[in-house]
Amino acid sequence: MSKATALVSHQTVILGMVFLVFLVLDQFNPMMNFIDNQISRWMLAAFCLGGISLGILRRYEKRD
Amino acid sequence: MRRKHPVIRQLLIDAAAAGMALIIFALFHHVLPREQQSLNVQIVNPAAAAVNETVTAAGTEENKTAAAEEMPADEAAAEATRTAAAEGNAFRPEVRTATASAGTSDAGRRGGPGRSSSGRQKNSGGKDGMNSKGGSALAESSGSTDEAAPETDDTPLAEKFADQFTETVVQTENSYSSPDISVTVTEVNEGNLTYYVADIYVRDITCFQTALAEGTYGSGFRDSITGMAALNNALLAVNGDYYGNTNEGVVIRNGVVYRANATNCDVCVLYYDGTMKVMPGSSFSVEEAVADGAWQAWTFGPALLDTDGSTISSFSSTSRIISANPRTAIGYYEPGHYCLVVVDGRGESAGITLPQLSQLFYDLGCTAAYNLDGGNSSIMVWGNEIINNPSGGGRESSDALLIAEVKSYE
Repeated sequence: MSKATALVSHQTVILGMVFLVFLVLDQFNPMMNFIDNQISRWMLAAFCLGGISLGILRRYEKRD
Repeated sequence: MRRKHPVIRQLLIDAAAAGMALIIFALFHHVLPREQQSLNVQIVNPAAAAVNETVTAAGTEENKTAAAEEMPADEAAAEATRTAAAEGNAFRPEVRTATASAGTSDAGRRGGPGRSSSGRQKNSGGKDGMNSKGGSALAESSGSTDEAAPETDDTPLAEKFADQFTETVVQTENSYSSPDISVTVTEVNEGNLTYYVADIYVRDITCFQTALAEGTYGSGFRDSITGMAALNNALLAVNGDYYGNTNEGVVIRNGVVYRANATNCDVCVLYYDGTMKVMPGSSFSVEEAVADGAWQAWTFGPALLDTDGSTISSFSSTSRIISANPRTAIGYYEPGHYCLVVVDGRGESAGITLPQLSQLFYDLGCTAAYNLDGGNSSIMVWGNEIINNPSGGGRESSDALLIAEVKSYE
């Protein structure tokens, strides 16, 4: 596994955990707007990009 | 060991990193105080604007007469205000006829709004039912300010609620009345439920105020409700919608538009003319609110009564939110007549579900009602003392609703 893949894997796991916590908190207090605020949107974008990058890197590594 | 469980070790490191990320997020999203960019649009009272126009027009006409030349501008304005008030412009209860008439028709069914509404409460505590732990500060100063009753304008509300207001300040443990305000606070105990109802009449809508924590609009600013009440010389205060928790939602406070990012949450708007409307966020338009003369607007919700004033039994929220909790809510009978309700919960009092709260406002005779921030935030301050039992000891909030005199009757 390349360093890039390892880094993106960590990033994806970390952001996944963060969003799981947000989902739980949102159940308790949706007015706090954990999921749909500006910071969360940037984190969600990073999460999506990480997921896509990880998928591409894994496929690329598999081909090698 | 390390080599045997590399994945677990990696996951633990990731979990720690996620925890750090959450702490940093919480600091920026919620904890660290920072001023937010505000629209800062001052809303003009349409009635006052109409009066100014009258003054301008009168001034132009009066320029032709010698008598008008002798009249000072401020006197002319005061005269115009009196004329407008007498003609019903200062308070315009007829403007929101749909809401008002719904209330009137309901009134026949439910006994009608006004003082008699307290008689329709499921358990109207009245003065006897009031727990004496609140209002002592007011009681102590009773009679100290009842001299020199000011000259009062005969607004439609003054005539309508003439039996509620007094020429001088009259205070008891659970009530306060003056030429502009009448408040009666009642504690109701029903089995394992305790709630507090503040029945409010205002002759001047500017007596229905809001306060921002530390006097600053932004996120992360927090203050106790007692602190905000004391700072603004409020007779009565309850927590608001905790607007500082988010950057979204409508925030109009004391006639100033701070934020107008309507969300899918219901919005509650109180207008200069004394009417109160609860609408879905999608129906809210800031231009319309400014044109109609919005005085306050809150974003929390949900609406507790239907547009026709009937109860709502089903709410589109999570079960945790709908279930029994401490609550704070505002009710509207008609222009100039409101109630603030705080329900204790998570202790000796079990709290109340949203459908039960809806039923409570229906029983009180309100035509509109709106849920504000609840849980540990639910606090009612009367006479500079917290009179309810806040869950978890209560917490500071970013804003408060206040009833305060705008004129001095000392």
